[in-house]
Amino acid sequence: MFLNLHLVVLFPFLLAVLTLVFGRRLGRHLGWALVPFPLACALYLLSLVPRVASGESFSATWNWVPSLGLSFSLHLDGFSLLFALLISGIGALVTLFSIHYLDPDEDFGRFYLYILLFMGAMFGVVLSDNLLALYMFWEITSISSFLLIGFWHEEADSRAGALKSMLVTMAGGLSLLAGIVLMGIAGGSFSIRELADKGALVQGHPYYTAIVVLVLLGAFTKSAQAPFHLWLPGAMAAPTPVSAYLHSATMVKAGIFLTAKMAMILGGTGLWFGLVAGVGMVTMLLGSYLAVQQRDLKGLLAFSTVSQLGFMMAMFGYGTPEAQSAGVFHLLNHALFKGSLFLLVGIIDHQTGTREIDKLSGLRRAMPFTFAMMALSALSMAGVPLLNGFVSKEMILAALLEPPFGHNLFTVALPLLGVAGSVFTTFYSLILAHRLFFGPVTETTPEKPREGSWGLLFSPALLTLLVVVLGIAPGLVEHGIVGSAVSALRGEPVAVHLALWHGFNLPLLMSLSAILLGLILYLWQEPVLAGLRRVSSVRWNVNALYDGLLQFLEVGSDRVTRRMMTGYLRDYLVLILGFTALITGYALARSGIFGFDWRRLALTEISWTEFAVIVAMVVGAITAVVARQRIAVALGVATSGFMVAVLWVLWHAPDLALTQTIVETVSVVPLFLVFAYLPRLRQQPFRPKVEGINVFVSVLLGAVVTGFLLLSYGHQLFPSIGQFFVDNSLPLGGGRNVVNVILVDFRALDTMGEITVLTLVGLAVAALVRSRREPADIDEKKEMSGVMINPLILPAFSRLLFYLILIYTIYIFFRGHHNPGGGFIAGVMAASALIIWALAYERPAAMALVPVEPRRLMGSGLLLVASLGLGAVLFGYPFLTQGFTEIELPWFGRVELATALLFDLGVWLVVIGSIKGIVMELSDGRPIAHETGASHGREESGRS
Amino acid sequence: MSNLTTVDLNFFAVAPLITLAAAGLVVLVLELVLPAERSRPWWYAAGLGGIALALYYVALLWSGPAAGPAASIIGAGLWGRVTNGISVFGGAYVVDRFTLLFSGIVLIAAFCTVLLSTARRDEDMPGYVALVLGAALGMCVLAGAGNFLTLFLGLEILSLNLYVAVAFERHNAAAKEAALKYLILGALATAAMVYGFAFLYGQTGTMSLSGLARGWEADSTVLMKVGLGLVLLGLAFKLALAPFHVWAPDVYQGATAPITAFMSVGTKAAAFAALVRVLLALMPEESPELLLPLWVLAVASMVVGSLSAAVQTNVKRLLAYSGVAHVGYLMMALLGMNHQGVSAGIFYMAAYLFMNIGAFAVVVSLGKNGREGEELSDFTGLFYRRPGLALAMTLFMLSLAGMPPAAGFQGKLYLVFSALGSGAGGAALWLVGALVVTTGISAYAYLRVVTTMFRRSEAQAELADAGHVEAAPAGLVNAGEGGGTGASVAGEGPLSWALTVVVAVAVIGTLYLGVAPQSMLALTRHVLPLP
Repeated sequence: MFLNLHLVVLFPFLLAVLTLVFGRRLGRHLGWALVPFPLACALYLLSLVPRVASGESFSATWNWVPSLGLSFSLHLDGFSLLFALLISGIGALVTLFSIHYLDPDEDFGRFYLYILLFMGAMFGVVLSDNLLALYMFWEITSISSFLLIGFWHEEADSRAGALKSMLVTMAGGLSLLAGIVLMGIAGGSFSIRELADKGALVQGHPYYTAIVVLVLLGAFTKSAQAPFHLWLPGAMAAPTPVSAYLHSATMVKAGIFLTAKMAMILGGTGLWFGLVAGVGMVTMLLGSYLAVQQRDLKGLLAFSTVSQLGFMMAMFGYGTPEAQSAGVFHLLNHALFKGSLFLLVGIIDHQTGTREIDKLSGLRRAMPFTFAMMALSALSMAGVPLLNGFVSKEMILAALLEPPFGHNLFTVALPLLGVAGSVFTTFYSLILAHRLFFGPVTETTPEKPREGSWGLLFSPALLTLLVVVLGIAPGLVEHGIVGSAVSALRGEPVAVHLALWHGFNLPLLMSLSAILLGLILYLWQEPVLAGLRRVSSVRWNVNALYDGLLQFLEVGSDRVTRRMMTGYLRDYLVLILGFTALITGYALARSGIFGFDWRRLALTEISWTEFAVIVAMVVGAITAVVARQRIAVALGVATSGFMVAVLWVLWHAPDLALTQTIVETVSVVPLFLVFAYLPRLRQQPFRPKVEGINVFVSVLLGAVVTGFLLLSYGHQLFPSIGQFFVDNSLPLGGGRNVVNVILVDFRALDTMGEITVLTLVGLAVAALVRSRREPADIDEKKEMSGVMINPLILPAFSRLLFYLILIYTIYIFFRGHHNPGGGFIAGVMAASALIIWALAYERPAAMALVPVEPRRLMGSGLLLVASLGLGAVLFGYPFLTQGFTEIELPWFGRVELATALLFDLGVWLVVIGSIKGIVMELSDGRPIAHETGASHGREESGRS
Repeated sequence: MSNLTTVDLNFFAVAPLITLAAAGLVVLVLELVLPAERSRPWWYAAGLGGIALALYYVALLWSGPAAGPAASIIGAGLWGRVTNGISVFGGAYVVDRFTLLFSGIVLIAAFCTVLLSTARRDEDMPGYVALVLGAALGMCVLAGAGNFLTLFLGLEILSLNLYVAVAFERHNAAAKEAALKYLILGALATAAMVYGFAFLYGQTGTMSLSGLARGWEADSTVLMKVGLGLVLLGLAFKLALAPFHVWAPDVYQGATAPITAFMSVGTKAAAFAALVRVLLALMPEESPELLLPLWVLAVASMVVGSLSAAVQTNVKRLLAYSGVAHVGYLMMALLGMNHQGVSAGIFYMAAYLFMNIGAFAVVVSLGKNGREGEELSDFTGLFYRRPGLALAMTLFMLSLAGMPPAAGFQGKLYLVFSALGSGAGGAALWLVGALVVTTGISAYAYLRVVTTMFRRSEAQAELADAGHVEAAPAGLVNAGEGGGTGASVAGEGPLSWALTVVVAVAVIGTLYLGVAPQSMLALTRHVLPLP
């Protein structure tokens, strides 16, 4: 059994792959090659009927993803068998029909590929015992339906229909998946059979209501129940064989299938009854009401299908044995007569070139066989005795009168809805059976009507034959098909009685009155239709809702996107910083920052000098923000920086202070040099809203960071690593200046990395500036305007200053190991001397002062450091181990002759080289080529 | 001074990293020693070879050679320990199956990226290849970071390489703008992260991830929270979690498609791995509510990502927003910090690797006249021009939308199960609910691409009416797995073999993970010491 059932599901997929490979070679003969498969399936399944009828069921399990509870386990019982028979039987007929129906130059390969995918997926849906596997196949049916609807892509409505059907069924599918997962949690299993045994457990679970709603949403969308019926008419853009197969006989019934199966787990409650029966009967009336007003034959059939699906759906909401028998039998009957009707409409479309009801009349003579079959099928749909529709409709009406929970207003209303719907059913059935074929012979069709070929007529003929046979002798399927299906749904053998005649009773009366009223309406059709259409112009269909929803989605997301994605960096910054500040601020507030003990800060110990420095810092920062000229901004920033240096002085950290001062100087100067090349700062008009947000975010962020600092204040959980360096810098590193020893010894490797980076930066900046510069000979006249050269004082003093600084630099360099100073500071100082020279004189003069190219300076520095490190290795020490000894020198006092000094020299060379390189390039004076680049990324640009 | 001898210098354990770095240098040296025209194929060959060798080492570290010369050369002592993970370089780098899995994902992405880039004819391609290799190196470092320094190092290596790679189109102002935005915002995020490290270090006195948890025992946990929050912020930026995603669309659009593809998969994978390691080290078990902000970000990402994706007409932007939503989904893997969650996260990353690289490969292959096929209008009627490519793109889009039987479906399903099984209660339900709703919304975005491909453009329709395109969907024959091979039909040149390979790999990967996820799930099981 394992092999056979899995073969039934997997074989279509295998065939689909073969179709991909060989399809084109066979062309339209592909259909002939494929027909045997569904036929064989149908025959095989038919051969199982007696065994299933005797109560046997078949299962086969194939572990797929056990960790997800997903298994490819199949189970064939009476109900699944009925569906599998429909899928294979009608599949075979539709394939046969399509061979003659499609234009010879259509792409058959693709068409059958999708059909096969669908067939396999549909088998998977009805045979799967595992709900997750069922869901997978369920979605594949949606995808293949999407592809099949879009088969005739040239037409715009085809694509819109495909998209709509996909969106609606996919949304439903997602909801189904959510329901399945919740059900799995509640029941502890994904097997339908196991869950059916645990029905009480699931129904008692707090998730029960959610499960029912979610699962039913899936089923309703698939079966086009109100208010989700909107996608089915849109799907009619598909080729007619597809409509017959997917949108009438099989796929739309997957929702019915699921509802019937899930009733085993979830059914039998008032909630289930109310939802399923209520929605079903409302859909029944709404569908038939809309069907009569259609002008397109396929539209009529689509709404008629919606209506009939509602009928069946309601039966599985009732859930009584009678209702289930009626539902199952009607399901079979509907597949037969509606399948036939779709194919016949396809023939009319094929032979006349139109499906518009108003253009078609008097076809009786030209298409006698079509007429006969159409009349029989349509009348069966209307519930005329001696046709199969009559029998099941009687049963449905009878079941409607016997609600499972006793009578109330709701249960009385449902049969009335059924009768009202049936009146319209009769009406549109007569349109199909009578109006098209009688009256004056049509002249307005694009092609002159002719009877279809035998190949076209064969499939509907077979279906119509079954319509008549089952109408006269319903007993043929009483036990084997319907009986075993109902038994499977109830989990116990049920004796079903299908009979043509039940005597004069209420259902018969309802049925006859519906036919009679329908006939009357049909006779008065002109005024009736006109009236109905006038009422319906207030948009009964939910398409408006769907369109509105999509529009809402588009507009909404458009607005969200535009608001966030302005394309401006500053807005992004505000967003990111603001969000960060909000979240962390919230966390801080929660952690009791407001309860902070301010006395711990000991504000009184702050001296007035410190206070003044801090005020200056703040002023500098504010200046930088509000200033309207770049120079003022740079000065503001520099003020803050220099004030930090002053703080270091106040806190007795001369080394840091020295470094900070010089670094600030050297970084401000290039800023000034760069300004010359920049366009004027654009003055933004004051925008209160924007500025307000900016100020708010800045203040909030500042407050949050202050909060962090307050909280971390005084938290030192373990001794600082600093003490180690203080203790060991002299004994291990031979230097009393701890900072310097750390730089050149303890962390020498880091320093080496840093000066490498510095070298790269120097080279990169110089290269960047040079690459953007316009050739010198073109723009000699464009003088640098930003740097003011004072022709008298500066040159005079700078010469003096230069040598003074240089001499001092040497001093700083040598004392560095024990006192504040060192290679880095000395290098930066020397470079600043060069900068002064460059500012005072022309660039070539400054260049000539140090007649070595910057890159050679940097390179030799790096080389020196690296060879020092390797030298240590040569002596058998780890890389960069320093050695030292001390000597006395005049003027300098005790100086160490340490390798660390050479290391410092390397640092000195690199620093001088990189700064010289940068400053030289920037102070060249020739303008830099500007490039006009439009800002991109704004959402407008991403849209057509 | 430095006592290097006590540090465990196991160079074999970092062989993939060394290989990547060496390959990058080889590419650059090749440019120096050979004239461009002669060496062009060798740049790519060296890059691809380096990545392949790194992948080989990853596989070797995973399984270990049973016998033979390799085992004797490399020293057999290592084998068998990788399963539980080994720390090398004094705990700075962790080589366990988790690291190896993410390295594998990153390396496959890098391999595809170099393949996708072979069409570029620019002079400076060796730099480009070296940048990709460098970024891959950074991602692998990040995935195996054992302490904050390594974490920072990995993050910066990958970021710096990517900043430059984004700006690589020198004459494209958009690319430069994108790179600048990425750089500035990225620096901000990195600064926040380092600030966070400082807080954590101040509280625990250790930089090592394995020693962090004890900080919660100290008297003030506020600083731990602040530190954790700032580190999360930095990673959220790299992951492009909303609202830290603002850079992503601009950068994705500005960069070339191969770089974007690499960035979207590789950075996410590496940052996710780092996030898992940080949370594993830092999360006190008794206070799961600490991660509430992360769940807020996840939901925000799902909503913003799918909403914004729905209105995009630029496919690269669309994929950027889609990536934002997908990272939101990915966060569900962290709900329980347990085996199932981590396994689901890795699986999802693997699925995302194939479907996303595939989609970008299609964008690259639609490029012509020096611009990429990134506008939605470039996809109009693709089905009639290159049916195989269009079907492949359909598969990727459906997979991104989470439709069976593609990998994206299994990934989402697994995430949902791990979330519901995490015991996180309300947060889990919220996230699952958001996933369901936003999947529905994002489906609209993806299906729009699909329907566009099936729409015949006016010109094509006219041709068809005139009977010229009688063989419109030809090539369907070859369309199955090969993807682009059917492209030889209607006017446009055939896809290069490199693009074909990437599309084919992506199609096979997406289908394989969707239909037979078991094998991948088995790989992801118990890769970290988790409950």
